[in-house]
Amino acid sequence: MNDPSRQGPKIKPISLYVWVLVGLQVLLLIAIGTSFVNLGVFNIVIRLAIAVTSVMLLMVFFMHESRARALTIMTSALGFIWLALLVGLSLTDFLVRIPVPPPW
Amino acid sequence: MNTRTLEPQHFKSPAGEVEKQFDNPLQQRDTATIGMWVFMATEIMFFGVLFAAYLILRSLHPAGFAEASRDTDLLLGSIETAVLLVSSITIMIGIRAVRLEQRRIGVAFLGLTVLLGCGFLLIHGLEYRADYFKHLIPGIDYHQSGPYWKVKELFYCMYYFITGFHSLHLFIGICVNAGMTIRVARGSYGEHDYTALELAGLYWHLVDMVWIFVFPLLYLIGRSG
Repeated sequence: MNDPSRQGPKIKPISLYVWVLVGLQVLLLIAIGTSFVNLGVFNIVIRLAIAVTSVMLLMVFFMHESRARALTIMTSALGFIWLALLVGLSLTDFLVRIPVPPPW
Repeated sequence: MNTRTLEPQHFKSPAGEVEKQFDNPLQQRDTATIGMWVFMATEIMFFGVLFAAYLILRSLHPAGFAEASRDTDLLLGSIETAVLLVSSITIMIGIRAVRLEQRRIGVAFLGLTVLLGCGFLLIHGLEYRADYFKHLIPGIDYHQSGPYWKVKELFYCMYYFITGFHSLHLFIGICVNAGMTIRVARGSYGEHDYTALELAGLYWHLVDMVWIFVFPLLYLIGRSG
């Protein structure tokens, strides 16, 4: 049991998980509450910021990213980097596209 | 040609033992975790395509998508989100209990996670049922009026693709966790042999993460308009 090579991630207290859950539920309530306030373009920014914060909480405390090795962190970031490239490059096209009517 | 007969012991190592290619259990566990993250990256890309399509359509038809978004059931969507978030902690407590050799607590919390997942699917089924009676299912029963009726059909196509595939992934997670619960009850996992449980937990959190983005994109944005 004391062999370091057998040790997995440190076992965390349940109270930590409960606090993270409370944080996630508060973020959910904030997201729902602010959805009724018209903030213009900031509506989508706030909603996505809350979603990203919630996901970070999940990844750091529940998916053990805070104590993962660098290779694991890099691998876990891969999917999100590809996703950012996909969405970002797609929107750079569609957001700036100007409809050109045919000349006839 | 080098032929090697695979005996049963090659497929399964005794609990807590290290496969030949690894130096120690920690390296074996890290490798399994990295492999799981590579698989999950493909899942993120799978949902990423759906999210990208949704965002592009939304940027092309903002008013119609906002109106369609207001027709979704915010109360049920919020309850579903809260249920999934709670399931994230129950699975963590379950895995923690298994690591502490508290098998009964582990079985209880892993079973609770499965029940919460089933609860999510049930509530979502109620949403689909209500949509059916409101004639909001493109291709099956879609009858809407107003200036945005065609754009709303696009929104509901994306809604069913995204939530449908999410529910399918959640169903897979439920099956995996139900199997894990049975194995924990039989004593297959313990203090040194819980990697499979951790990987199942990672998958469950991934399904949660997808929903954390689905909920604001489909249910909240456009609500204030």
